Order: sequence, then C-alpha cells, then structure tokens
Amino acid sequence: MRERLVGLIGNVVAEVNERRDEKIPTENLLDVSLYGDAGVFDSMHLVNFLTLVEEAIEDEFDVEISLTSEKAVSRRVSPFSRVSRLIEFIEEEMNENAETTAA
Amino acid sequence: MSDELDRRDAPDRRDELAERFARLGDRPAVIDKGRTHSYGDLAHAIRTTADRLRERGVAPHEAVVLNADFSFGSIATLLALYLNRNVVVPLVAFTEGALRTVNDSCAPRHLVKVADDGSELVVEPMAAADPGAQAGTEPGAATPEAYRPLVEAGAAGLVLLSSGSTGAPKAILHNLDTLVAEKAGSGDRVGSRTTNILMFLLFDHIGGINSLLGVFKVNGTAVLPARRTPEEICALIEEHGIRLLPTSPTFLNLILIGDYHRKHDLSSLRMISYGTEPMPEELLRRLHTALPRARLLQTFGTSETGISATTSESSESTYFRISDENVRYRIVDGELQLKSRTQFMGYLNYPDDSLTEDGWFRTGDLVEEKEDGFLKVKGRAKEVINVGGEKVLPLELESILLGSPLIDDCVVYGRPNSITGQSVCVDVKPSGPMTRAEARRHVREFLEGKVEPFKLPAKVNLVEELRVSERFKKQRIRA
Repeated sequence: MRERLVGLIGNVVAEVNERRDEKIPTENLLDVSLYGDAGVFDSMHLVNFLTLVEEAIEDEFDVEISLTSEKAVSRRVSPFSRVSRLIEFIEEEMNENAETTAA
Repeated sequence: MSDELDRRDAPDRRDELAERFARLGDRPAVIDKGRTHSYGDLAHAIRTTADRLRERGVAPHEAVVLNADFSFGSIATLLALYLNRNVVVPLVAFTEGALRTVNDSCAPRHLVKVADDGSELVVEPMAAADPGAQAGTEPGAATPEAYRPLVEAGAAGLVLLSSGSTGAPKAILHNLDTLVAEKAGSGDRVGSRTTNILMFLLFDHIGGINSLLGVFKVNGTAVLPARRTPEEICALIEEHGIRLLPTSPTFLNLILIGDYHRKHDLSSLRMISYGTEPMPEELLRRLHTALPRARLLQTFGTSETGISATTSESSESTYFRISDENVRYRIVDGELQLKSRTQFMGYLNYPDDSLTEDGWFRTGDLVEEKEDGFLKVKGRAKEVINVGGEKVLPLELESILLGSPLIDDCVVYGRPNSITGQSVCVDVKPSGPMTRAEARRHVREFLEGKVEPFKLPAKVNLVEELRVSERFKKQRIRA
C-alpha cells in the first residue's frame, strides 16, 4: 500500500513539475515539505496538489477521501509538513473509509 | 365589507380584459396541442369558468392553488380567478415541498384542476394551515394579514414560489391587477398579422406569466409546448412560424449542441429573448452565427420585481439597458437594486430582508455599468467563489471554456475546503471522448494566459449531462 501511495504521489508531483519553473525534488520525496516555512506550495497550490492526489487515489483505489478537511488541517502534526506524513494521513483515512464501508 | 361590495359593482378593468378578448373574435389566442382557440373562445371560457368557480363556493380574495402547466384551460382559469379577485397560486408540479410551503404560508382554500381544453373543472377544498381559518368558514373571515391590502384594493393576487436552491421555496406575493395592467396593456397595439409567441417558460414562473401577458399586449397567439425538449420546441417553431421565443441560455445551448437548428427551419424567429441566468458571451456569439436573422435580446427580471423591458446593445452583446419607465435601478457595491411598479408585496414565509430600508429590491446579481448606461450581468453574488480571499465569477470561466471546440458545455462552482475556503471546480461535458486527465490538461491549457492563475480550476470532472434545473438554469450551488 505504502509503495503504491509513494508512486502515486510521485506521479502527481511529476505532473505538477511540468508547469513549474522551480521543480520539486523527487529523489527524497518522502522528506519534501509541502507547506509551511520550507514548503514547496502556497495555500492555493497546496489545494490544487491535494485535489490531484485525491483524484489519483479515487482512480487507483476507487475510494473517495478528503485531504483538505477540517480534520486534515487541525492535526497537531500537520500532514502537509512532509510527504511521509501525508501518506500516513491518507492510509488512516483509507482504513477508516474501509471500516465505514464494511460496517 | 360594504366598501368592497360597492367596488365590485363599479366598472372594472378585469371585465375590460374579457370584453376586449370578446371583441377580437376569431383572432387566434392560444394554440394548444395543435388546436387553435380564438380570443372569442377565450373570453367565453374565462366568463363561464368564473361562473363555475363562484357556483362551487370560490369566494373573492380566497387563495386558490391552480395545479396546471400551460393549457387553454389553465390560461382561462387563471384569468377567471383574476376576474373573481382570488389570490392565485399556480403550481406546475405538485411536489411535497411545494405543497408544504403552500399549506404553511398561503392559507389556501381551494385546489383547482382543469382539463386542457377547459371543459372540466375540479374544485377541491384545501385544509387551511391557520387553525382559525378552516375551509368552509365565512369567506373573508380569516383572510391572512398579508392579503389584507389586496382586499382593501379590491385586487386579485398572485403567489409565485421561488425555485430556492437552498431551503424552502419563498412564497412571493404580487398584486395581479398591477401585473396585468402593466404587462397586458390595453391591446391597442394590434397589427393585422398576429405574432406567435412560444410559451417556453413555465406557467408558475414570473417569466411564463410575463410571456403570457406579453401575448395579450400585442393580441398575439400563445403557442403551448407539450414538452420542453429542444426537438419539440424547434419543431413547434417550424410548424407555427414562431416569431418570439423567450427562453434561457442553457436551453439555447442544448439546441445548438444537438444541431436542432439545422434539422428544423427556424427562419420565422424574429426575436429570441433570453433571461433567468447570465448569458456567456461565447454562447451568444455562437447563437448569432447559427441564427443570424433573429434578434437576441437580454431580458432582466426577478420573481420579486417582475420582468423589466430591456434593450440589448446589439445581438452580439451581453450589455443591455433597462428601458422600462416602470423600473428604476441603482448599483450598490456592484449589486443591482431595482424598484418597480410591479414590485412584489412581500414574502409570505420569509422576512423581507432582500429589501433595503428605503424599499429597493436587492437582486443578488452583480453587474457592471458602462458610461453610456449599458449594464452587464457578471454573475450571482452567492455564486462567487472565494479562493483564499480572491474572488472568482463562474460565468467568466464558463464563457471562455465554451469557446473550446472540445467542450459542449460546462458549469463552474466552488467546492469547500479547510485551507483556502473554497476551490474552483468545473464539470465539463466534452464534445467527444476524453479522459479526466486529458480534460484537466485541456481546461488548464485553454484558460492559462486568459485568466489569473488563482482562477484556474483545481478540479475538473467529466460529466455526460450537466445539472440543469427544471427551469433550464445551470445549478451552481451545491448542497
């Protein structure tokens, strides 16, 4: 699962990079900070990026999750501080989604 | 009460209308399902229906629900209720929500249904919501406070339900005497040739009522559609040589997309008036190319103020002027405000917070005004998308995207998120096969350089059909 998510986010970053002058580094993807002091996105581009990730997840796993929810934003450790944390958040959301669907 | 009775004996404009129709004799008034009914027939039907209503206990100033779409019978019944000074609540679709609103706010006494040709009339009692106002009590005894000014003026009323995209529909009360006097005219504008006008807009909508009264103003002929599909409407235009088609931009686009303007001869059309929602400039350009002989006129109006007479700058321009001596306008913080003689009397179920303290109606439409007084609708205030403080108007993007040969139609709306408040989304109906990734790329490339970066949609969805309301408006507000 984790590997598929890393690959999926890598693809989205590649798509975003096509239109960026200042490319987002892809070699240490998990350590890339998305938003904040060292973040690669401003708030608007962050939303666009997360929307692309949501779509990719929907296409690949056929699950709809929100990465821009109040829950995502209000976490003590922000899922947007590093790609690895975003992946953790996605996994949690997908698990929760699976449980709700099963129940 | 005696005062009211006195007035009933006085000569009445209401009777003048039926009188005028009677004098027009064989002139065609209504074409309904291929059958032509003359003005003489209509005058007769109005009078006999008014008699039948009275016989069945429908007293003046009682609220009556008229459950019907446009038909010869429903038109005659509407005017009979006007003759009888009732408060008419026309309802095309008798949905649970509409019924609840009517019961809760309109104090209805009777439900009337009528055969399309007017031959049969069914009058059923309706339980009034007000416990003190049960059906069968003395007429006028429990007239709701809101109807009091109508009773005092000896006037008929009209209640229109707004299509409310959120919450319960608003019940909007009009003075029907005023509407008829302003919009149906005196009938002195009679040409030898009758003008056929298509009743595309709905019977329970201000646009539909306005179209109907507009027919009477020119002693024209109302052609009634059985179904409001592009195919049926275009076939009717060809069959009856329709000269005026009042409709909406969304419906006009459906005609173009389906190529119905090529399958039918629409050359009789002298004027297409479009309203109810803003017109994307690109669509207007396409329309003018497809139907060069028809003048394209932007109408402007609201359920609350009635439809204003307008002049478009040209058939290719979405700028228009309000050229109606009964209507004054002003622009406050970008929003158009109106004051008209056909202004509504109030909402029966909502506070009048859409009125300013000095009695102007806030339309909720954002407009810009040129130096020469021409106006342009930029969108609805409540449809503005706020992306982290930056404002995006859906119409601007839709208008540009319609210029793409790969896009048949689209609708832009805001999607809430907890980071920037909202983000821009677009549902695209492509003209051919396309994947979501291709659509996203195309939308971005098509808009880049034409709009500021914050307006670029974050999300692009492919859809087979756009969400269109029963009144042929695009739906941008999502639940």
